[in-house]
Amino acid sequence: MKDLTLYESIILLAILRLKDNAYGVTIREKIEDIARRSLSYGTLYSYLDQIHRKGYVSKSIGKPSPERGGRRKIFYTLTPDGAEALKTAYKLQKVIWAEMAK
Amino acid sequence: MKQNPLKPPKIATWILTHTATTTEDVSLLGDLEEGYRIRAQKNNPTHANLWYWTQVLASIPPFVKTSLYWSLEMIKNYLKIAWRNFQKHGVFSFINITGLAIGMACCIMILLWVQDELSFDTFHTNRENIYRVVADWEKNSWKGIEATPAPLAPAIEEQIPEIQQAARCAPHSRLVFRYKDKAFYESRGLITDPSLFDIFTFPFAAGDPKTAFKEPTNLVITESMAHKYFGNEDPIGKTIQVEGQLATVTGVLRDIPHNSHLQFDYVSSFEFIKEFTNYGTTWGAYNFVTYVSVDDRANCQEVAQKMIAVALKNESPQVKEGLQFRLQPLSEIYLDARSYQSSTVTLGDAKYVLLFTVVAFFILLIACVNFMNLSTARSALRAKEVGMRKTVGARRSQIVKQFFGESLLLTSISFLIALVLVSLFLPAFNRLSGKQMVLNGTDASHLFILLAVVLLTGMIAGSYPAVFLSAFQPVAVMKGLKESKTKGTSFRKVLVVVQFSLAIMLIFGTTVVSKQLHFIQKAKLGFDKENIVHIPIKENIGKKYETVKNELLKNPNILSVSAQRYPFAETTWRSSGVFDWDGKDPERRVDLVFAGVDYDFFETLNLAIKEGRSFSRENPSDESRGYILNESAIKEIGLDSPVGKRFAIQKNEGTIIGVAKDAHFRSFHHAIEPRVFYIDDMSHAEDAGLMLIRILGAKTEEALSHIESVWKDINPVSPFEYHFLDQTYDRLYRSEKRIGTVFNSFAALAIFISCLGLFGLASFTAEQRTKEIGIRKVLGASASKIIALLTMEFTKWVLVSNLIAWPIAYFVMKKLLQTYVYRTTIGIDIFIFSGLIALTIALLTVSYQAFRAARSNPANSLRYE
Repeated sequence: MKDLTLYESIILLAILRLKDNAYGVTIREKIEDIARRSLSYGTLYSYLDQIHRKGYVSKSIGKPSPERGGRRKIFYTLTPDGAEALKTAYKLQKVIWAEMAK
Repeated sequence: MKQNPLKPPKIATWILTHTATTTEDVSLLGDLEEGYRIRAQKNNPTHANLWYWTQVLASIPPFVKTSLYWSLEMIKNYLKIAWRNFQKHGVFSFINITGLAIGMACCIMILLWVQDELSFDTFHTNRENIYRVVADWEKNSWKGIEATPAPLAPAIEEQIPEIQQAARCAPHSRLVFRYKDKAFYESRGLITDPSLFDIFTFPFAAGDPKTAFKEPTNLVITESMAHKYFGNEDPIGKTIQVEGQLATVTGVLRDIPHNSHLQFDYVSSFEFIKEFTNYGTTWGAYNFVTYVSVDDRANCQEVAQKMIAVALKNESPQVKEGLQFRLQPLSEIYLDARSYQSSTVTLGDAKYVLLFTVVAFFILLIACVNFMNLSTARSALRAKEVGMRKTVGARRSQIVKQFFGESLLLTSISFLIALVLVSLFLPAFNRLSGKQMVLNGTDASHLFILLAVVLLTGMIAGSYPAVFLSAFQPVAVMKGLKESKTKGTSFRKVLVVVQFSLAIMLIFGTTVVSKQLHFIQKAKLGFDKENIVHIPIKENIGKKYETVKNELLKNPNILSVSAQRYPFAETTWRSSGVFDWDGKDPERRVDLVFAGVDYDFFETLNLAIKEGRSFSRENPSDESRGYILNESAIKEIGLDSPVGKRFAIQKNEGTIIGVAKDAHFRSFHHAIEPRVFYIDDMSHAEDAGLMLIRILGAKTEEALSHIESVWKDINPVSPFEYHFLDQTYDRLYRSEKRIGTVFNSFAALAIFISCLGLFGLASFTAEQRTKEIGIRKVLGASASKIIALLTMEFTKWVLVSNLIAWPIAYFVMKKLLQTYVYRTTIGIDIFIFSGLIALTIALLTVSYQAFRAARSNPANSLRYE
């Protein structure tokens, strides 16, 4: 399994934090609020497709709503694989910081 | 119209939907619209719009990046699969690539030829404004004849303001040039005005066109002619002897490009050696070709009318009788096959340019059909792959792209091979076609040809397999349903029929062309052209004609000697209005060819006298009063029992002593001209006269050495020159022969390519039906029955192709033949021949596969059931 890139882990964490309400708009806002990174939707969706392909998130389709022009939301939730990958990344970070930044 | 404040800008949305590569573009659009509404409510709509646009534009780069990444991944996959297929089906791939490569190579070479033909006279900088003056004269059935009187050019240049320059040209006759010990005959000389070099772009390597023709004895020669006589010396100012007269070289031209319709080695002014070029220079003598350059605003019709007015003012008799001048653009001159071809004018033929373009296209189409056939025949093998790809999510457009790409890949490989083939065979093709073409990648028109060939082939060859294969329904193919296969086979049959129709048309065409060539070469001329040597009446030969004749006849190998005052096989001096005979309508003017000959003329040529008698020394009056007319002339003047009737040329009263049989003195492109023969004095025949010597066929060497020794005695300085009459006539059909050979070779290649395809298709069918054949054999079918079964299928389609090809080919070839005055007929034999050839070749190709399938052991093919 490949290591997560920085953006992959940021997005995964955002999805984890947003729980049941993780979809495009909220994920992007979260990242902007917390990580102070502004992502274009293009980049965001490219990453979402990528982590979905890797099996870290699963998708579920929400109800269409009028304020979205009648378009459905796609909600993202972490899969066990995704959680595992985050843990691994976190451990790796911790080890690196503990051992290499002394 | 005000935009709904709650709707994001449509253009931006459109851009986004067309660039987004995410699988969730609906959700993405929803997200954006949600953000847009929040901003539109909180702030103003402009701000929201701005935000929306920024978001869309910022999203494009990552999308493009992903899309590129994935298409690259897929292309890698496509290439891998293509390569595997390529290896797995070696024979098919080989046939495909060979067929395409040969087809493309042919097409490229033919198009190079066509391009070369079309490139004629395009190097002149002023080409748009250059015209040739041609004459139409309904009365004498002149149509676009490029003959004009000598005074026309200076008169129109002076009197018609639109005409900037006018120059007249006429060829010199063959003249001996001598410099120190070097002596050659030069036949490509042009008599012209200096303004020729203002009209056309023939650059000088040395000397100045303005002053080069100051003296009548000044001469301008080309670089290669200068090299021939002077080697590395500076030619300017050198003196060269022309027929014993001195001329000074005052200019050197760069060699005339091969794609110029005017071809010459030297140029002189009008005053130069006039006695050798005694062209009439009155308003009534149409001996010159006139070229003009006009200014940009000139209207050709008006200029032509003004020219006619000028000629009328000068009382040109022909114009008075209805002859009309008109301007023919430079670009049309070379391909105007009606024009007169001479030593200084080369001509092509628009009809062949068109014919060859069609052939090139046919060959390419045949090669493409091969490719389509073989690719779709193997579709069953690829169907599973397509089904699989579709099942895992490939869109149809992707499959189309995949197969298109595969075709383009094969096309490119074939193209590279084709380029190698072209470079290998272009020299041979040049020899065949008499051209000097080189494939030049930096030449825009060549590059265009190459690109057009590749793209056209790729598109035609790739389109059908791509569309056909991508249409497979995954469920159907995965279940192994056969319905998709039958659809393919019927279309393949259509393709085979198309291909064979094209091939049969080409066979038909070549057969007709060969038959016509054979016809005009072997047709009876009306006289015996074998074993006749002709030598020019040069220098002393004319003056001592009788001595020469007697000397020649002393040798037992020389049977008969005569002479004529005009060249063979060319247009000759004809005139109207000077003839008179008993019972002539005084208003009537007939157009007869003068044929001044010596005694023994008819005997030497074995030209039969139909009525009356031939010229005879026993009747001294024959010399000045005897006329012999040919059958056409008798018909033209409409005399009954002409022998013994009065006939006169101007004041030369005489009698018709005989009627000669019609004979083809000119090529078979021309009708037999009405001729009047009379005894002429050969001592003044220096311009174009010929001595005709009939020799003993078995003793050619001895006869020639005797003729040479006589020549050397009389003409010690001029090089000995002789020709065989049959070769002189063969040369008339040289360009036709060339075209015939080229046409034959390409038709043969086209048939070969068709057969390649048929071979592939037959082997595939045999392979497909292995089991069926096995079962048939087990049940007792004989090998011959199996062969018949397999060959019948293709035979049927070749027969159908015949039915399609015959009428089209017949119609086209009939049209082509109509351009010949004397033409062969398209008999039933040609139909049968072309059909049989195609059928035989097809059967031979298919039977190999059929034979193999029939011979195979059924145990092998049924073992796995």
